[in-house]
Amino acid sequence: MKDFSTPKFNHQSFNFFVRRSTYVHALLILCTLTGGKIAFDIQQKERDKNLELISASVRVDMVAMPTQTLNELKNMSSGVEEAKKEVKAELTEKPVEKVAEKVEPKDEKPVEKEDPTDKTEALREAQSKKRMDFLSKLKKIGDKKVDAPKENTQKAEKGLYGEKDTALKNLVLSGNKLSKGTQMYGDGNAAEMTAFQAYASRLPDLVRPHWKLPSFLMNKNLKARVRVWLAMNGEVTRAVIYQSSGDSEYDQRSVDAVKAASPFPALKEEFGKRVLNGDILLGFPL
Amino acid sequence: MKKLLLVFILLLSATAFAQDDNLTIVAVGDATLEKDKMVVQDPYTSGSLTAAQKNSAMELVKLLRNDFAFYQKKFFLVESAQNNTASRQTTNYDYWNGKGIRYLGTASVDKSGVDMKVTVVFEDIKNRKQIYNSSMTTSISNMRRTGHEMANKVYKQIIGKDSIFNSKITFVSDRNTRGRKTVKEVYMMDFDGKNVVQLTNHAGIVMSPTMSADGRWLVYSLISNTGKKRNNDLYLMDMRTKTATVLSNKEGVNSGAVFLTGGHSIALTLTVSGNAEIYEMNINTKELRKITNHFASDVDPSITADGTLMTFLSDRPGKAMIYTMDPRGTEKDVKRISFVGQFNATPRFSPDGKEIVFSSWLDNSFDLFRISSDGQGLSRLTKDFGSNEDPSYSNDGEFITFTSQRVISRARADQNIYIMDRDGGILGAITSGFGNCISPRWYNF
Repeated sequence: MKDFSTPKFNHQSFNFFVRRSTYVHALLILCTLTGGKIAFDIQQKERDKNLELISASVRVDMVAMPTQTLNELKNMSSGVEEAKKEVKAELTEKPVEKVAEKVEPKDEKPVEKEDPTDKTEALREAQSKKRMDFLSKLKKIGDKKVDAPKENTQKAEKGLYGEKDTALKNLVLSGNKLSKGTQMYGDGNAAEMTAFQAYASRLPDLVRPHWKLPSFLMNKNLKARVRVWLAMNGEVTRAVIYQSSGDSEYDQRSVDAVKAASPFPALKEEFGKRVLNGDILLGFPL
Repeated sequence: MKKLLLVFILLLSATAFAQDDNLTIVAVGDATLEKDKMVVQDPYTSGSLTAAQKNSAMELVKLLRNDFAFYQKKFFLVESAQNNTASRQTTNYDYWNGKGIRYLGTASVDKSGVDMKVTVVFEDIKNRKQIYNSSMTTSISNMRRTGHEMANKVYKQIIGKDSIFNSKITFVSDRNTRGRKTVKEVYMMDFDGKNVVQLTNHAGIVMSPTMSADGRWLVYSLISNTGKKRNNDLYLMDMRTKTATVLSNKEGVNSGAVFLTGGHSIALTLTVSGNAEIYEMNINTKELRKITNHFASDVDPSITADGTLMTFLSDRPGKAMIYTMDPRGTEKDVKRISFVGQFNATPRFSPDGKEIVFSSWLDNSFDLFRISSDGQGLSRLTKDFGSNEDPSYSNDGEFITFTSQRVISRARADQNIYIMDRDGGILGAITSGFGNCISPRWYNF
């Protein structure tokens, strides 16, 4: 019996060409990859250069010395709504005062001619009173001493932002949300995206109460991003630093804040896949 | 053949990894400041102490409370109830945890021969462990120094770096002025204003004192009231022997000195060449080297701790503006920092060299401003607080001391030294009723 063995392509030139073709194709792919990377780098450099240029020109010359102190600026952002109310109250009060002032001198004029000396004395008294108040005010400013420990025991701590500010802050933060760029893959659906975005935007409010920093980390403009994977019931299955701030304690505290905020609200089918996949990045602070 | 196909497939799949992740970023926003509550209990004193020693024990506790209260952003001092036991008991963590207290400090003072043995214990309530437990023997006169040293060690345990508790501030006061003869001398005090010690005794007018980082040398300008020539000379005082020698008496101004890294040379302003220039002078050989070389006035040098950057005031753009340069060369890497301000003065570096605090004339008085050393982030620190000049950073960069002038009447204005935190939160005055106190400089030897 003839044994049937699978015929092998032993033809010399066929093998040769297949080999050659593989090499050529591999080379082509390599060239595409490296060419793409180089093109991307050049593009990125241009973009960075433009950014540098833009930021250099945006660094506007200081036209004048600042009029508000640092602390005043900090308090301003938290007292904006109160200030608005105050201004409104002032506006309604002022016209009343003006009318009253106008009325008085008219009444006094006939009296003036009769008793000029009284009026001037009264004026002098008023002026000296003003001076006294001013002087005593100045003296009081100088009286602040370091020695006496402050009796702040009863004051409740409000942290950096008081209750009156949460409304404003929420407004500001919802504007700080970065929207994602063009979608490269996936079945992006308009409805799905907004539900996902809605869910993602709820997370900061839940994480923020746990987000605390000691003073030596506060004003350093550090920025960290934590990538979070959630289970369907909202529990944090995994939270890792996606972009480090450079300071390990800062990074650790941001991850701890995320873990402390677990469990988040349960996921829904429509966007669950993306959240399970770790598509959410929490930025501390942005 | 199969190997080639495998390689081919791998190369193809490599492209799949090249895609960027498509992630959504959500901002959490700014963090809240974490202030820890601290309680320092009244002292536990043994019955065998004298009344004066018991007072000293109370002074120690007040000192501990006051020291930590300086760091308003880190600690919140809570008043404690009176002690209901005669001696210190083991800490009841649950009790203090319930009150929200993070740190608990106790001081026990017993008799030790003629002096006192002070035991200070600090507990971290949240982590349930003792972070400091140390005893020192001290006398009444040395109690404050002991207290500051212990407080510094506790602070270092908690925060991880040195505090200001061991630091000193040198300043100039005119309290020895009699009638029309103005006398200004250099004094040194603890950072909290206590323990004032007079350093010079020339009966002349002393200005701009500066000390070397190790505390061995004191350099100052003196306009002597004796002698015919009323020149502004530079003197060097050896703090060990308290002898003063003339360092530079060139014609004109010899002033505004600051020590360079190493402690062997100083940078000072001399007008001997006709206009004010900044020179480097070796204090042993008195050799001079020009650091600035410009026809405009260059004054008021301040050097970073590592000696690589110097900030100074220069008239070159027509107005007094702040510049930085490398002090190791001449006119090397000169960079303009400030572009606004009618009259800027006394730029001083923070210890990490990243920020410059300076005084500027605005709205009929001087106020303090802060700018980072690359010229960005100009911010205002004081406002409506008298006329504030001559700032100096603390050794840990958290506080700034300055002199503030208040007008009392048409003929009288008072100058006192104040401390504020680096963002402009005024803590208060540390001199009072000591003449006009100016030129504060903060040191930690």
